[in-house]
Amino acid sequence: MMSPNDLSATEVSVSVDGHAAASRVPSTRLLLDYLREDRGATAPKWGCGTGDCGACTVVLDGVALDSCLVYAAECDGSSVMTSAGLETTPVGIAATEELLAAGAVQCGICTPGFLVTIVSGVGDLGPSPTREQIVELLSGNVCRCTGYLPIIEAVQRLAARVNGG
Amino acid sequence: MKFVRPASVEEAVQVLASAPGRARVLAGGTDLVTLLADRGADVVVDVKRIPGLGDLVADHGGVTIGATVTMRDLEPLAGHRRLAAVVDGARVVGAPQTRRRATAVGNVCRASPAGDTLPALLTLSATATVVGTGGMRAIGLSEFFRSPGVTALADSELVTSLNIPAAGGAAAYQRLTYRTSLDLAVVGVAVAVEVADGIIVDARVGLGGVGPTPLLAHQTADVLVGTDTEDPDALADVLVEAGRVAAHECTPRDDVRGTAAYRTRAVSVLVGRVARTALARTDTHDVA
Ligand SMILES: Cc1cc2nc3c(=O)[nH]c(=O)nc-3n(C[C@H](O)[C@H](O)[C@H](O)COP(=O)(O)OP(=O)(O)OC[C@H]3O[C@@H](n4cnc5c(N)ncnc54)[C@H](O)[C@@H]3O)c2cc1C
Ligand code: FES
Ligand code: FES
Repeated sequence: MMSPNDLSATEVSVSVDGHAAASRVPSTRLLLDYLREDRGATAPKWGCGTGDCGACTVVLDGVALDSCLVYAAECDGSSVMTSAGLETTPVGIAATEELLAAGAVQCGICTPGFLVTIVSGVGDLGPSPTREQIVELLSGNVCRCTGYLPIIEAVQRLAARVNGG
Repeated sequence: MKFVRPASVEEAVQVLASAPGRARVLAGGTDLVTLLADRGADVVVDVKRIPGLGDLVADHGGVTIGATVTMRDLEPLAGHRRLAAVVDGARVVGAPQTRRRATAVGNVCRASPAGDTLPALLTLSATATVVGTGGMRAIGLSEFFRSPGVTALADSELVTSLNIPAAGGAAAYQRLTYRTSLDLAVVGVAVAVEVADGIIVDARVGLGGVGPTPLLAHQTADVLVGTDTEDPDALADVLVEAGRVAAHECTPRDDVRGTAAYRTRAVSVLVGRVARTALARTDTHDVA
């Protein structure tokens, strides 16, 4: 007996950066692979695949999380925003400007994940966050190039700008 | 692998029972997804959309934490001087991305010896409410953990909530890690105390990372009981003694995170520190 909610057929309907589409996916398909391979949304990156680097961070139904730890099948009826979608929002545009101005991008592999974390978290920081608050926000995103200082500086400026400091 | 999203606890239990030992409950997936990448399963049962499992109910010091309540959802309990110990643990799990997805019940069901909410839940006498094909039962957490990754749950059983009974006093949890974020505890210590007229009248000590399961250190707790907290010298002596006894209640092993000797030493230091934090919290007022 199959229950009506049985998703072994794994038909998922997901809105990605505002574009809805339905497709069939294997139940073991990770959200990250689904986004990159099935939906052509290549902004989230494969780093570690174990939730340690944050390069795959996306916003799922309003929650920023690691898409390498989520099955696509869990996301039926959900809405996903990647950095490609977020960078066209007012806060996303401001964040991109501040990251560029601070020189917070080198090889760029970590940048889409940082952007998602920053855009989804900056609102809670107030206009003048402490360094500790920023480090805490960014603690799930790893960068092997910048040494973090320019990224922290970019968030500091962004917080003042968007939170009215 | 079949992916099932049941609409009720009863349906979830039925699906689990239909593939004994080959069906797995999926909550936040922060442990399970990588685990299944290695081992696989026949059926994955996603419980996140079952109505009621997301409830977090706190009143008069007691709390019920539903199966899909995340680490992040627990933050409001920080204002409660006993429950703050659970939040101390929840706040250090992984990174913000992890904490928004990982559940407290998942942390319990994963049964890692170093799970960060487990020592506090043990010291607060938490029970797990469990539903299986035979009905509902409650399992005290001190009986719940069997060995690393192994619990008292039967194949078809689902934890629907954790329940912490109402009681007085205050509690705290701290861990030792090499890196602040995204690092598992080398050791973790929770202490719950109740103080009346300056005297510790009740104490419980939970230890993580120092044995095959998180454990209650009863003899260490006994050392704390009866201490006059208003006599700084006596308190300092007792905390040193409690640390020494805790070191004897551990059975740590050498592994990549630390040697048994290092863990034993770390626990004996942490016990005193965490007890002081818990005692300091007995003076603050509940805001929850
Ligand atoms: C990057 C990273 C860092 C981490 N850091 C920490 C850390 O610092 N401290 C720490 O303690 N943990 C850490 N973890 C582990 C993990 O996040 C926690 O154990 C988390 O609480 C698990 O919750 P979950 O909802 O994601 O569980 P899941 O992964 O969904 O499930 C975990 C296990 O419990 C079972 N299960 C879940 N819910 C139920 C239920 N209701 N009934 C029966 N069985 C159930 C599952 O079948 C599975 O076996 C980390 C994980 C990652 C990926
Ligand atoms: S790829 Fe997901 S956290 Fe690293
Ligand atoms: S810019 Fe290269 S990893 Fe961050």
